[in-house]
Amino acid sequence: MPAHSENRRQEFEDEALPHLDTVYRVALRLAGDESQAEDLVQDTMLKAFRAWHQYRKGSNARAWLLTILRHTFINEYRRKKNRGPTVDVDELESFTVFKDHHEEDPEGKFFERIVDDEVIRAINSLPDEFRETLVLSDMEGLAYAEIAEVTGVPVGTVKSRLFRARQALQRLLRDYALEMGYIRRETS
Amino acid sequence: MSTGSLPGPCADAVENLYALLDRELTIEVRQRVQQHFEACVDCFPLYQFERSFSRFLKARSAALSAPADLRRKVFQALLLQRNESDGSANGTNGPHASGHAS
Repeated sequence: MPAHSENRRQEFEDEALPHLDTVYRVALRLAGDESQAEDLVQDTMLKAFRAWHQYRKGSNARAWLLTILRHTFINEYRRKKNRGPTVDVDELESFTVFKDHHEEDPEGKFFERIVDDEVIRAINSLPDEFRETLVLSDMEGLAYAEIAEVTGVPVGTVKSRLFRARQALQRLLRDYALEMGYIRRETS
Repeated sequence: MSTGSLPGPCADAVENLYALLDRELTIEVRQRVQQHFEACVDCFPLYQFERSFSRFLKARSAALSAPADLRRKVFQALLLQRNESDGSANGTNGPHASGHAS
């Protein structure tokens, strides 16, 4: 086997494969189910390997892989995806969702009682561009500039999407917590 | 985001709340905003609550790894690619896309 090919594989294993878990988690949140997510991850990693010559060695491999993942999802998977209704994020302009509950539960202790499935369900009901921004930031810890690079929008848009996504998610979780009796409904 | 009719320092702090929690502020702004939240009785509950929410979301995402089977499939697909790109794969590249077909 030619040495350059072996080098390429080794480089890819060293720089790209350590991000497989991240790619899988983001794929799962984009695609919505495990089977689609696995196909999406395989397509993404294969494309990335074929395009490895375009990657600048030592630059941000995670952001590069997530960009390929996102393009693959939009171009080849989004249409196949059978999504339920998404929530409205347009009216969320300020920190008002839990305003009435800050006093009752200042540290948001009730969050701990919310089961993982409910959190995932709430995240899945965010519109695509808000869901991906929230996942990249809150779940994967990317910086605003990295998210801007991956999603192809200015940093200001990342911030605004993040704000609305978080407030929408809080509203969904608040409704769930009220329903379950974890917090009390304001009677005023 | 609208901060409505909040007093100047409160509006400034609230405007920067998520950037503070996301560690996106310069040292100078971070100090100013952090000090305000810790000193202002009106703003502190919001800060405390949003900080908890941020920690909650991070805690819910840390553990999940790619399944072992998926990891193996990715390795296999890369191996096939390598053989094909070497041009030494005559007869072995039949199932070209088997590693990643849906």
